[in-house]
Amino acid sequence: MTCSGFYRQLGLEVIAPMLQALPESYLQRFVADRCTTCDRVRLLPMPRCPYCGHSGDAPVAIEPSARLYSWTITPHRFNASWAAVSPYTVVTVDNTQGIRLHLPLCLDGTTSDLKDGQPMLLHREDVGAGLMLPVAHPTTPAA
Amino acid sequence: MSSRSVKAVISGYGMTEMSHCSGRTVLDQAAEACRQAIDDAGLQPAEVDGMTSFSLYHDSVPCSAVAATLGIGDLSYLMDADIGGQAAAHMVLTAAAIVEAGVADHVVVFRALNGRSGVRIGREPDTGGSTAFRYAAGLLSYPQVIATWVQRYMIETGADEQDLGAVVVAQRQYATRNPRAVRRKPLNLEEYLSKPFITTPFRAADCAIEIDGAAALVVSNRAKVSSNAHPMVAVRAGVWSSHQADLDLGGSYLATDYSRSFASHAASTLWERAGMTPSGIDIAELYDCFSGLLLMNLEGFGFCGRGEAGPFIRSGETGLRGSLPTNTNGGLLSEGYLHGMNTVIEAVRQLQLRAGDLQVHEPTTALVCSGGRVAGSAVILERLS
Repeated sequence: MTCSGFYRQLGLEVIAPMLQALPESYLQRFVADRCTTCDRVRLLPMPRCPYCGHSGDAPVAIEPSARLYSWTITPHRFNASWAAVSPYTVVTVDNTQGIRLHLPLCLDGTTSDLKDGQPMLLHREDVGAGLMLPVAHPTTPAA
Repeated sequence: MSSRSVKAVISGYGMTEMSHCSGRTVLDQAAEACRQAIDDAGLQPAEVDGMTSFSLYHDSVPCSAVAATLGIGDLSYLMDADIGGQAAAHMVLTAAAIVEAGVADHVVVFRALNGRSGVRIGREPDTGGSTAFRYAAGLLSYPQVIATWVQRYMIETGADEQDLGAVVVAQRQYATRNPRAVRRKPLNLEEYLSKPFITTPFRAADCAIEIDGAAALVVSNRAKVSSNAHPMVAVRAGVWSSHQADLDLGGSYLATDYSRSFASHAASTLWERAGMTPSGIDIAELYDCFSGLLLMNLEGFGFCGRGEAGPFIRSGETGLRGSLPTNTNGGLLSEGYLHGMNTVIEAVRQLQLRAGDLQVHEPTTALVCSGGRVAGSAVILERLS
């Protein structure tokens, strides 16, 4: 699996149901919600802030700089329609705003050199129809 | 807790065969397990006045259907919960509270599903608010979600694949002597390590095997139990914890610490309520839908230190002659994934000294837990003299 075109290889027909379910703000502008009371940022669309309970929020751009928290490499085809990108790696990262995200890792498919806390950059891929989905890249070679 | 003060006891249990394809309806299996439990308690169906069960993705049948099938009449208490694997100990605890409160005298608790041939967890889409986010990233199945947690646990504690393998091998050793277990073939560490990953750090053997089946037990008012066929088992204390809950089953966006299970947060409350410490527990039946979660649960309840669960298991402490026989039926990994209801029943079976070849030497206390990630429940059971 190379860096370019994870979702292109997967195919629009495979990800179409997810695109329908994801918020437009995430797909088109890559924004999250910042609580206007406590300033914490949350990825998931929720009617109230899970940290302070208040309901006011404002959109904020999701910052692209992140650190690696965990990962899994998946050779098993849990869903046959994902065969085009198999095996693939999903990374769990925390960005500089404290947002936790799960994202496909764009690398060469082998991740034995991934390290806890490794810097990652979030990058958006054009998946067609004017929509974008984020992926993660290591920003420095692993030690 | 003196035995005199105990009001709620587990008076009987029942289980169907567990299989890959039952060829039966869920209702049929539920009715069989519940009827067995009622008979085992020395009761007639008409004496049952409470019933509770749990399900996931509509994979089971409602209590009212089972009650109607068994000719159980007027119920004073009924609860169908859509919770999942965190529920089993919680349902027992709740049933005990209902009995203690005088709402009902005999509450049947059951779990029934065609988990292999029917609705399968890994193949049913979640409907919660975080699902689309993780699906889009490629976290398409529950094993992948849990894998990110266990990977983090391994990063923080230094645990490795040998520690995961220790769980699998130890529990398979029990399962070789358990005729109910779906996985009974002996497995050593070398064989385990030779298997391919399905999603790192998990191999197939690290994942509980989905099965068809049903299990039930009866929680009774001790004063209303006339049968002396088996020792009574008291529900000494219990706890529910959902400290890192997300918007849906597979959600992992709000949780901050993937390296600890709910047990780390629930333990102090549980021990305080029970008036006990881990050293007072004779056996542990701990939720193990994935091998790594058993490590977290052992450490979370304080049976060993942080990062010490792997060596604890390898040293034989969780074996039949160890200091803490654990998952004595082979666990969900080997016996089958009945969503933890079989885990509770194994504890009762051991405490009632009915475990046959798997019997631990006269245990009097057991800790049972259900769940292993953001939420879960636990009860401490005690055999009454």
